[in-house]
Amino acid sequence: MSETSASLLDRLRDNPDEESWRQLVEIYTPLIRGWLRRHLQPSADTDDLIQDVLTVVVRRIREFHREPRVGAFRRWLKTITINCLRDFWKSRRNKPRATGNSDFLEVLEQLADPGSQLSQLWDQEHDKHVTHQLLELIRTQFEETTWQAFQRVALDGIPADEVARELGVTVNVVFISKSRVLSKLRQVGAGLLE
Amino acid sequence: MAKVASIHPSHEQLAAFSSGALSPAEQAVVEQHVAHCDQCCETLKAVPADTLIERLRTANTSVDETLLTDVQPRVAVPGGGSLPKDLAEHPRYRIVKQLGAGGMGVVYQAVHRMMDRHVALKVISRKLTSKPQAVERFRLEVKAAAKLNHPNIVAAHDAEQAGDLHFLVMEYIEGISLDRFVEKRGPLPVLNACNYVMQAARGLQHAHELKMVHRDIKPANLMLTRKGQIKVLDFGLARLAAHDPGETTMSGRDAGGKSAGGLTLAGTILGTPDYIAPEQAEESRAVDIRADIYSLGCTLYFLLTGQPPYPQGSITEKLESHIVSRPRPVGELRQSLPDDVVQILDKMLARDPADRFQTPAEVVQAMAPWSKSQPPKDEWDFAALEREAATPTIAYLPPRTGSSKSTRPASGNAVADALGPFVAPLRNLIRRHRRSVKAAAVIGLAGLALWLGSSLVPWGDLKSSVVSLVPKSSAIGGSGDADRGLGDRGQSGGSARTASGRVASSQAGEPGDSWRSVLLVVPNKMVWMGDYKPVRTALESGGYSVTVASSLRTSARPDDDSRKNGVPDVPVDLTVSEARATDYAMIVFIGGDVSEFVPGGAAVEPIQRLVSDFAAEKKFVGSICAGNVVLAATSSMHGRRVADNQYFEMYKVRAKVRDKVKLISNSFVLDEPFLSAKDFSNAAEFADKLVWALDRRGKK
Repeated sequence: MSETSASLLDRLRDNPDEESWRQLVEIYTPLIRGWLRRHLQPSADTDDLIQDVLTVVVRRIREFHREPRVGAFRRWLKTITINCLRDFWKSRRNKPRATGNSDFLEVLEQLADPGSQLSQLWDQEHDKHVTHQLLELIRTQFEETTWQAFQRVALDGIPADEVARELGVTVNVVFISKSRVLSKLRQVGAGLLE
Repeated sequence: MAKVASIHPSHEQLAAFSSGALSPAEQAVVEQHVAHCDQCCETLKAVPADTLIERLRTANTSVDETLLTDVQPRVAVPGGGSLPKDLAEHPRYRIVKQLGAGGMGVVYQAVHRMMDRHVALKVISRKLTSKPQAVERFRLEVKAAAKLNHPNIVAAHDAEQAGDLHFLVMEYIEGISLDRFVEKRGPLPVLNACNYVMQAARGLQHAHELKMVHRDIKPANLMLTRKGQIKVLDFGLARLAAHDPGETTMSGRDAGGKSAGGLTLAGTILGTPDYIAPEQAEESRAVDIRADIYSLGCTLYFLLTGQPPYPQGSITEKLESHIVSRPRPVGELRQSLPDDVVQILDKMLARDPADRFQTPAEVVQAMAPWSKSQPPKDEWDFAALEREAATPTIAYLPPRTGSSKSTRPASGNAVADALGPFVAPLRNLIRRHRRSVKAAAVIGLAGLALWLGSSLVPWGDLKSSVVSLVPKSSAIGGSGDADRGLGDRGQSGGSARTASGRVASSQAGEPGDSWRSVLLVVPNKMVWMGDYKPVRTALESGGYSVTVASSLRTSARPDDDSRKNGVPDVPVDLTVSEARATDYAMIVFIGGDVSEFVPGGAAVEPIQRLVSDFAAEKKFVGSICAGNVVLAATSSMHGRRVADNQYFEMYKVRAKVRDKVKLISNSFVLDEPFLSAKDFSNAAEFADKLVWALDRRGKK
């Protein structure tokens, strides 16, 4: 994996290469698919829809501006998804259906409303999924001990002393490990995470 | 305590350091300071978790992988599939993540808010609790199940309610169900399979003593913990579905499966009745513990062969098979099983309950010689198995700019059309994420064609190349016409020489059967016989022909100990430069003095090419011992996992591959198509796995 210090978003916008596209697709495909699966009737068109969404992201990423507001990217992605779904709905004679009793367009409407429960769920899922994927992405760049220390202290919430004992390193090393991984994560995920 | 001369960073700086928010320059300075300053470490201990960490914690524990990557079949969960509000706001339990979903409902990991105890919540599908009688029954069943207290049974704590949702509170198990385990790693070694079944039988015996029958024993209901312990899931729940024959919850995968020719499906909860006892298929209410013994037998059959006794047919046909047919003898699917184990299995699968073991305790007793007293520690990389589903195995190569014009049919999709060259790879990449078994072959080939063609295949051509690559009855890497055309030269070379080098197994394929041939790469000196012999023997007795390649054509020298014991040289059939991936179904790197194959060595380039070709054709690439170093040093391994060992130091390769390859400290690592084993001490089992992998591929 390339060890560029630029964030994935910046690379996609300014200097898109194979690697960054691949990462984008890998990170977002399962997220969008999972979402479609849960809220729409399964359909052979799911792949086409995901493709539509990602191609729009590809085409318009230069228009996306990072904002100081939290969640700008996930909102942007949500808007694109909603638009793609709307177009899709319009283009179909056999209208796609939502799961349960919900109406397809109603689901879209709910999703468009930032205050709706569905919207909040979208945000949560996005954050969970993307952070997880980004962690996987940067993992190879660290020594196993560094990663372990980070994992135990930051993710598992184990006190640093205990982690140090567990791994046979000093507390200093534990804190440095944690800081390094988080720093890398912020770097790579800048714009996507906040 | 270390003394630090420099000025301590400010509290704010330390907080920013703690959450990784410093600029690179500041980071370096503070890092240097913290490395020596214990006082600052004290301060750091008191820095609370920031929002990023909070989110990471949620992400790490609650990434809903089953939800996001659709690994498991799911049914629509009432309420649109999201977490029901009543459950999300439950006063006693906080949901952490979804663990799985099935016809019965959805299982979540949760924490008891007061006790801080991790539990699993099984939310029962509303379909099953829509009637008051059903709810009452649910409570009774759970009450009975809660009496069970045994290390091999998942403990049920309580029946609870959230709004009109009913859920079961259970012990939370970190592990993997045996169906997924086998799906990921193939049939189990005999001792492991027997041990797991014996443990399950112990649990069943305990239930039997309390007059309980499980009724839905199957691999998916047996959880394997990290410690190698088996825990039986879902006691009591099968009856819940059983009492409403008119409303059985078939998952809808098989239309018309609700009731079939007088057979009631009351005993089966969902999906295909692969593990159902004959008497249960006929009259589910009358069954006793011997039905569980039959189902456990079917489970053992699956653990040993990777398939249930009646893998073919519709639900109805399967049910009938249990009643009237005999399964394919297990020995045909799995060679060299001990006779005793086959007999035990046959007895468990006896059609008449009176002919089976009468109690689980009898099974335990019969199994005892075949199951080590300690649970075998399974050293497969659990985390990797879990992650695999989310990891695409095909490399992503977008078409080069300026590649030939797309000739794909108009998709009627303006966006996609506008994107031209991006579309094909994106489509394939997206499809790669779908884990549909049906689609797998075609998609795999699409990806393969894309990859093979060095990404110059436009969508239209891609389709035709897919067609031309699909042999009529065979599979990826098969011996279709297209393949044969490509491989003519190498084939005559490879197979003919093979025949001269050894006694060909009678089952080995005809020349041209590339899917029956395996290429072993050995170093020219110090071939580690502890790797070579078991691997070769297992492959040949599995019906595969073996071709040996090395850097030179001269026979390869065995390791010193073997030579002292009179082991003759290993005949070499061809050089690695002459070998062609098209001629073989698999390549395996054997240990020894591999210096010629690692960076700086004389034969690095052909190795690089071979690995890349095999991987591109989605053929298996195996390695063991120092062979792992050879494999890890190839560019195809970037981002992939391989079993770690001391040879990475010995050949000074560790530093070179550290950032590219994930070295895993396990006995075996499977990262398809790469399969590696730590060293010769795992050679026999490694060899079995290779054969299994080949068999599985051949069957497709």
